[in-house]
Amino acid sequence: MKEDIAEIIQEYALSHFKRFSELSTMQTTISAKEKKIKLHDLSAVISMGSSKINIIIVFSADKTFVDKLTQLETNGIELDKDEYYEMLHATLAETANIILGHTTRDVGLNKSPISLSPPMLIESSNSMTCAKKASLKSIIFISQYGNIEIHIVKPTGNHNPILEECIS
Amino acid sequence: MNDTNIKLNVMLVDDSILILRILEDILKELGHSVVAKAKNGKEAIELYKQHNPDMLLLDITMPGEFNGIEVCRQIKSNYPDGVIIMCTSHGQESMVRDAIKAGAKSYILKPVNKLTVTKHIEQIFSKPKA
Repeated sequence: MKEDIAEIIQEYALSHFKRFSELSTMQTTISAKEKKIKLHDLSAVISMGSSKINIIIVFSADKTFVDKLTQLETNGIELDKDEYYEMLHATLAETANIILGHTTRDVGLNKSPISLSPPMLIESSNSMTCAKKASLKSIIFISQYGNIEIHIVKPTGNHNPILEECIS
Repeated sequence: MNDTNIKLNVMLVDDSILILRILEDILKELGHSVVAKAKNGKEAIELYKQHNPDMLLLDITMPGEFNGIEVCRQIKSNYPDGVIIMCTSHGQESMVRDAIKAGAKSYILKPVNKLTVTKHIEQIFSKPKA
């Protein structure tokens, strides 16, 4: 069983995306080099934590990728313009919820439960910089329809035996 | 069309427009009718009274006054024969247990798909073979 939370998220995300044959050639890599998160067109921010520690997880994607994912998830359902716009946000939020829902099960297995906050959506290509007392790991997924990145921001100096052992 | 030859009036409750649309599409394809859709617990309780559906597909975590478990509890206290299936993500197993205690018949894990929805409906509504 994997112990690093980035690897757990990567595995669940990959299997979530690869349900669709159009995304079966997706490539992925994990990086711990950056201190800055470059936000893509649409992002969802979720806090994952227990009573003692919280980590922040940012899903950030190209609109072209969320467009494709929405099209695949809705299986060609006809949507009007306003509904489609709302659906793009819902797709990213639900994707983050499902992937992290699986992850919390593995992280909290036989231990204290880990909770998730509702996703906060950001619509802007901007950037977020980690403070000195935080570490960042990024999982990058590359598809022919655009990219999605999942960033894991961990505060340093907090100690929770459940989460801490999964965040190397 | 479904294999059980039953046509259900179904009500959907989820705060995600994506899940509502996917479920609606699947149910219509299976030959059932979606009689009402709600995006929060309060709205769900009101609409249930109005429509009294054959089956309720109910999200567990929702914003607002009532989450799915509370909605399930309230509906089952007024409609003991009501069929409720919870929809949930992994990581909410303890909430699923509470929902079953509150009277939910079963639960579907997200992401939802046609096969899973069909299986649950058949398990609940298929008449035993003579």
